Amino acid sequence: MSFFSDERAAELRQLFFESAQELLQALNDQGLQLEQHPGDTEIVRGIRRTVHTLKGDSAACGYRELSELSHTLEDVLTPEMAAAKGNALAEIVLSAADMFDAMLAAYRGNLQPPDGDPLRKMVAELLASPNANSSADFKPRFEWSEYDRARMNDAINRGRPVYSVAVCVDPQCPMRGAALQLIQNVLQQAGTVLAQHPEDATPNTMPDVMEFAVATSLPPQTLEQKLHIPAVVSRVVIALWEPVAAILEDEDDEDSETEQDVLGITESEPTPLATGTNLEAKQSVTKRPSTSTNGSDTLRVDAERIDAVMNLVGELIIGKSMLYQSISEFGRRFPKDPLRTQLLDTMAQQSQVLNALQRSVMKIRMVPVDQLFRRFPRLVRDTAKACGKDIVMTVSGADTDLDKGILDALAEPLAHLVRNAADHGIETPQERIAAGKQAQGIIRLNAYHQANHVVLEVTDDGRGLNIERVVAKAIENGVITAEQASRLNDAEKAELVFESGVTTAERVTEISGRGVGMDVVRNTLARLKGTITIDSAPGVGTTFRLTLPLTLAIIKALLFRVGTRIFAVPLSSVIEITRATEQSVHIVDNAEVLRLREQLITLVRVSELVPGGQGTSNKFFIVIVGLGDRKFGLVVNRLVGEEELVIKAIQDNLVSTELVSGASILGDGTVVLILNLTAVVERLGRMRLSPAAQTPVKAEGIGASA
Amino acid sequence: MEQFTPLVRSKDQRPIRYLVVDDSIFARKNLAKMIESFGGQVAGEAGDGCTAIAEYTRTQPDIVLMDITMPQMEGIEAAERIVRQSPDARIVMVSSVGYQENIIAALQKGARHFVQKPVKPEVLYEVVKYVLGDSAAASAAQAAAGVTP
Repeated sequence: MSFFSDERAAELRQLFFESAQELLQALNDQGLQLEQHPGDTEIVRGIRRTVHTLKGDSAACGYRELSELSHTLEDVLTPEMAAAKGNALAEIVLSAADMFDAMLAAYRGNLQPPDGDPLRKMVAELLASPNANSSADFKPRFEWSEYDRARMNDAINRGRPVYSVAVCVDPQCPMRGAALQLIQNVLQQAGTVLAQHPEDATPNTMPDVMEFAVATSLPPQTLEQKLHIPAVVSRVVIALWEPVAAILEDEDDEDSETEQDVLGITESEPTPLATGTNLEAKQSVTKRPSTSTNGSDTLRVDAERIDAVMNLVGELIIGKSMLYQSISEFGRRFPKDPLRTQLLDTMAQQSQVLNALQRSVMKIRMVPVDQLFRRFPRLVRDTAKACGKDIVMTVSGADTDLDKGILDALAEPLAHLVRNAADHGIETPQERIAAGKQAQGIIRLNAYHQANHVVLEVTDDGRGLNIERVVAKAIENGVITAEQASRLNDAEKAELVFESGVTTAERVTEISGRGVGMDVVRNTLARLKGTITIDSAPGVGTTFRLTLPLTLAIIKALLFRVGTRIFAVPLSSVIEITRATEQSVHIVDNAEVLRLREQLITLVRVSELVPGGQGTSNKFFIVIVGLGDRKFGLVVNRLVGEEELVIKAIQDNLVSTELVSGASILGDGTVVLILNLTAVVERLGRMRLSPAAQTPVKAEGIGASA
Repeated sequence: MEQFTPLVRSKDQRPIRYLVVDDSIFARKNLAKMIESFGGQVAGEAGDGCTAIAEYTRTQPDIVLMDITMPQMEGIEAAERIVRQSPDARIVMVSSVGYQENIIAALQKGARHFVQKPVKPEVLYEVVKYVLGDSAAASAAQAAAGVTP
């Protein structure tokens, strides 16, 4: 490293960290693939390439420990090993991904990297285990698909015994395709081949071990004899296939064995790793949107640079509205001046270009949600394994684009929801079967655009939220009173899950299976100007729906005046605006409500946040906003208009309130505060629910601090 | 050449009869030598597919060793025709590694096994034993068992 200048070396290291992160992701993906298809030599080769690249890169950056550990791992990544011990190898690959991750985190923080011995030990054990390198000790998986099982059951019902057969192709046999053909010939002669794994084996992709399900009336000894084809097959394993029960037990035993191995490793450094990764992800700069390794058409750019451009575009937009104001002023003074139309034309063209510019810059910041989603298969797998469940994760809409900043901030909340779904939502296989469901639970991640928003959904087909118990617990913990609870509808009851009630969190988890960190999830969403809703049906499953703005930097906002101040709310959350008078406001259950087309809407007096905000007029506007499924009415004195606002973050020491999510400058230089609707509604809404909280809120009003 | 426990026909304890098909005389001689070391007997030889079919009908061998590439008629076609005539025919394809496609085709058309060139006697011996299955036996064992029937 010393022959580079410090700056150059730092740049190189930065580059290394970026690519290493991608390599680790690839390693995780491949490890999971290998677990699905143990013995697939192509996957093993892929893993080997990944590890090899990591080895080379880390060595070039002088990260000796990582490089050496990769080298150790490379040793066992052979097709033979995969054929012999595919499952164990997959475990090692996944553990290695964790270990490498921890090492990278340490390097990044200039710390001593963790000791790689646990991994070395795993590798050594794998190598030392008897016959690891020969095909003599291969372990058939005998996992047939549902369709296959149906066919097998069918054959049994017709009175023919079914055998699971695994044959190990002689490593000396160079003609794999011919070997496969011959094995198939022999099996077809002996009986009926019901299934084959891998299904699509071709001469080129044929693995060393082939598995078949065969229905035959031949005694197993004869079948075995026939399958010992000289010069083609080196080993045969035959097992009588029995429907379900017996087989399941057998597999369980094997699983628990390997599971213990894993626990031994992960125990040493479990959770800190996960958070480390998330932090890194937040700091790391824009990643390539696709996993493809050919980078000829992609450009890696530091996210900060894009943010700088975005900021400048923001300034331009402010400049635009200032210019507009000046032009309209000019027009008022000199209505006949031909210069006026000329100015307006130029202005129109200018703003078109500006819009296009803004869109392009925003597009640069967009990355597919796949970057986030792809972390979860591993999470689901680990959680499922830890609690003995069978869970499959499906993803749709992974190519939906979302602002990089939002995506990064979502990593933790989404992981929380996914983990919850796997841990608490999905039942154990036994419970599921008892409930008449398939033993395998499904967690679905979905992303799609909806108007100006992106919606992310985490769905499980588990037991659903036990709303009654959530309510009971909320009452017990004083979040609401029983009387209030009786007036809540189901959606509102479900939302109690998000109530922080710090001390209640733990216990809410125990009874409902949800709760820890749920308030964190909601707070993150609120910070991102998003909302979260729950759909849950007992026994059917739960869907968490996260709705997020496309970008945080620029919003369309509705401006209104309360007292002397101008506030803004995102236009996307405004449902409608209506006029009202004091006479039309009713008090129901301690809260002011407005009756609008047979619907009661809770009112929120924004004026309470501003000293002297109460207007003298008894006529006012009500801005009806939607938060998730619920509607609230903001009482405002006067509407100002609709404007594109460039959000400027407010430093915390200036305005120490969560009620405001940002500020912006209007064309005439007026500062507008953008209300954080979730916080405002919660604060003022809570005030209604528990009158005791009223005083502190007032003391903390916006007007006081601004 | 290494000697093997002679293989004989189970039904009459007579030597196994082979039909050797290859366009190269050298290859045929080579195979004949091996057959001899297995205790077998070359019932007929052919240098092309057409002759092979005629020879099969004439000699009714226990097993055929068939080359893939030959003039006039390829081994695959010859094998296919022989099997069509006599479904019980036991044909072992003999070929170089490069002809995997052809071997697969031959296997699909009824050939029972394949060995690759250069043929190793111990491999061929095992293959022959496998292909003949119950109809052949190592003579010593057979001698002991052969008392009863």
